[in-house]
Amino acid sequence: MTIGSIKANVKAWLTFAPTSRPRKMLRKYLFTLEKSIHKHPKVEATIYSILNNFPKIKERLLNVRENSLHTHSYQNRFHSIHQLSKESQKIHHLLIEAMKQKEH
Amino acid sequence: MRIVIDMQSLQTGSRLRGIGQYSINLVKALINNNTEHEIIIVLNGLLSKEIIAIRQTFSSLLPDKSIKIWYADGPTNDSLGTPDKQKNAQLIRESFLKDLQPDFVLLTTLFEGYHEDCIISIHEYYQDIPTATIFYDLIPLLFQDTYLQDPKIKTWYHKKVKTLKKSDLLLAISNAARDEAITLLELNPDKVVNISADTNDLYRPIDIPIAAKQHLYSTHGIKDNFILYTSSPDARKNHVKLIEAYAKLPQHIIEKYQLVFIGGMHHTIQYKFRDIAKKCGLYDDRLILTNRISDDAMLMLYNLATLFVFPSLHEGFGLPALEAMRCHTPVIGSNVSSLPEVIGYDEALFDPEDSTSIAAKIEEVLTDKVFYNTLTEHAKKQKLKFNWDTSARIVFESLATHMYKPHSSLNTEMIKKQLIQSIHIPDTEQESNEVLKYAYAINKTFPNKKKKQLFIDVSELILKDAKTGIQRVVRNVLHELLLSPPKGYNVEAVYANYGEYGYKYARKFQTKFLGNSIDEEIDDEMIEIAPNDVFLGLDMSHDIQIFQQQYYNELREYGIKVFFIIYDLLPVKNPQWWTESKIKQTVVKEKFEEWLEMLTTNDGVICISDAVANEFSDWIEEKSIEIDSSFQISTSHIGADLLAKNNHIEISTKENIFIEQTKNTLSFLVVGTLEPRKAHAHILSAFELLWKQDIDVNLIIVGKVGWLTQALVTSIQEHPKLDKNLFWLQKISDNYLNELYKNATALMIGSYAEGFGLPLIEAAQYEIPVIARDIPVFHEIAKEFAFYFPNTSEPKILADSIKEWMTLYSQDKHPKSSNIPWLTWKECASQIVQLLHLEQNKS
Repeated sequence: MTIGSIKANVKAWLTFAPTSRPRKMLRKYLFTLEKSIHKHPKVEATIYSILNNFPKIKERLLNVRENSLHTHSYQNRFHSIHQLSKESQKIHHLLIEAMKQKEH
Repeated sequence: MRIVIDMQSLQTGSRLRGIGQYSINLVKALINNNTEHEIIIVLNGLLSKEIIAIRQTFSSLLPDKSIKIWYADGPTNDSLGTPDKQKNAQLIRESFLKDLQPDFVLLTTLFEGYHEDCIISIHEYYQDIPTATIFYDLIPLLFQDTYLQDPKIKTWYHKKVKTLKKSDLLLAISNAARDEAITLLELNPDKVVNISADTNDLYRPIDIPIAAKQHLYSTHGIKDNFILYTSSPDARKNHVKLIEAYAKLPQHIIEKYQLVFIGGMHHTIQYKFRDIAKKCGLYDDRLILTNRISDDAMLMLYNLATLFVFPSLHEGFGLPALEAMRCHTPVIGSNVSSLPEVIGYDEALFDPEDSTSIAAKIEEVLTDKVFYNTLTEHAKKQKLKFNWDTSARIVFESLATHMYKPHSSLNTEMIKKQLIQSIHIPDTEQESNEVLKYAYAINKTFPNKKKKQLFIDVSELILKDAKTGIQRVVRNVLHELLLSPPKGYNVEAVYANYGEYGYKYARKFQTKFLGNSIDEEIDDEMIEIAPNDVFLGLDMSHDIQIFQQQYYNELREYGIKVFFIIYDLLPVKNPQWWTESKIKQTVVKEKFEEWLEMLTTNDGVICISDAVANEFSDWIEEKSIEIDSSFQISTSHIGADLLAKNNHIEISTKENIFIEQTKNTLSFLVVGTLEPRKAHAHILSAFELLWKQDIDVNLIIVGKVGWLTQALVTSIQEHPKLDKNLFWLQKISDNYLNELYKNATALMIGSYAEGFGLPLIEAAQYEIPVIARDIPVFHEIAKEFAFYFPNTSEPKILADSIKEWMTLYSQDKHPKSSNIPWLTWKECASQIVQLLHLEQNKS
């Protein structure tokens, strides 16, 4: 690893550069935070009113949230068979069966 | 022939490069020149970001159903993916292609997938899928020291070359490329055809306004005359030799002409080139270096350049040379690879390895007027030799010549079964969600060929039936659609939850809604989607729908049209009608605007009136929101319940007595929940003025207490005229309301704003006159068949208007509401079906 690449990595971490781990963590945290804030309208309203004074930060956060929605929904969306439609569940069953047969 | 075109070239970084441009132009030409073949475009669901844009690019050329998507689990690229994921994706793709039963698969790109999830394999799992590949070049193989230094990339590239050799046919973009393929890949010449190339239509001679020229020049630091070269800054493109050649030119030429490089000139490259220029003794302003620019700016530069120089050491074709010639700009270039073929004039060529040769040719063009003019005339002729239509014709002929009958004829179920049995998921991943992901991907790739579905979003209704006007619309339209679905479609009520991605069938709700008994076994499972289904956001549930934005995108990528209904835009301009708190008003407005913005990313909206549609269009313009040209903003008026006027309607004795009491006095009916927007306070103040003038009229208010009307409620409850001339009826039955309509003198509708104004229609059904506020939506609904009062909140003006109407009424000259046109719910549902581009069942 060259000094240049170390520098670049440190910079990426400190500036939450795209694809860096801190950015991914921040995104995940923001998504969870947004969900819990949403359950409390008064808190939500206050946060909005504060953020309205800082339009650039607000825009940034909304962008991060939008990307986080994308990542959350697409990459990590499946954790239960009930998230699949009936036909997908059938295929899931067949895939499991096929894998079991291969084991034998 | 069924020609299946793999367009992953438009889904990767190649879309911004020559390969993307080439693919799009060739495929458009194939479609335009096609008279007898079936053309299908296939895309990779792992590279979903560009799918909607690609659908839009081909929307006017191909039916939506001719663009099909396959899905796998990613990442599959060589830097992040695993071999298992790559193989599984290849297997799914080949199975998918096999199922399409193509006579030929045409690959528009092959050397991709190291950094991006582009998946291409040939005859890896199915030997009998005839495959033709567009062949651009083998530059990395020729310049291995430059491009294949990294052993991983070298292995990957050689693997790709092996795949390329498995093609049944190579379609080379030039004769030089064809020769390269035959020599380096040791291929049978019969299997490599030159289909040639052309440029984008955009490139043509144009007149450039002085202001535009000045702006362009000042942006890039161009002073007047210049020599142009456009390309990426790869070493092969030979910029350095051109700088050296330029420096060798006589001083008067250097002073007269700047040297302009366009394309990918990032800082390091700029520093390098400037340093070389400096070492060659050139002044700083002589060399202009610019990053990628817009197509329009490029067109102007081609037209404005005195000379285009193309010193590249190797090209597959060399599009910029042809682009410049299309603009009638003289072109000189290398005497190697494809450039002699593209430039087509020996005198215009030089040795790219020798800067003196390049300098001599530049000097010759710029000092010899005759030669300059000859090159200009040559450009005009040479450009005619290249034509996308000709390329398309050669492709069709070549495919037909090389076509062979597939060996086996497996049906979808057999292919799917074989696929499921061949997918390999490592033991370590079987416990995780990998199997779920593959099940989902395979089901989307091979959807059940059942009846198409029209999904109706009833999320809010399922959560809470607040019996609002919107929910009345939702219930009625859904009812009509379920009774009479569009031709070829099943109508399905569906819903989503906040925080849970995707929609479920509202089975329990739908059963109950249709009056059937609920089977406890019924489950609200996730919806089964297939291309050509349609989604309609009939219910308005902001939070859920904003959350599901990504899901709507997924539906649209898959080929499902997504539409929403807009009932009004009231919270945008008047959030104060819902809350007094300034902070909450901001939240109400912003949430609503976020929802509206989300709508613009879909296929279209249906507004319940032209007034709403106009407001929405104005809002889009005001917010400078970019919408696609295909985004549809249409209007369908909502329907009304029809109750036969002469039906015997049962109401209580007390209610009958009230009707009898008020019958002999002019009685004005106001219908609607008490809320600030409905202007009850304004109407009451006007009537107070009338009562003060001893005018004997009744004001009958029908409506429950809403919000922000405490003062109004108190003033009604404590009003001296209450139960004498002022009546307030809350939570009355529909039957009683119908009787009130029948016996009222007129309906007053004073809302400051509405999405529609349903009481207008109800009044029309009972043929009672209407006195309405003068706002656009009421004009749209009631036309000239209502009496309008000025849109102010001044009670005296309204009181005077009522008196004016009473005069007209006494002379029977008042507007008659019976002519107000209105739709039944059936007609309303039918109109919505039409706006969704579906066909109504004739039955």
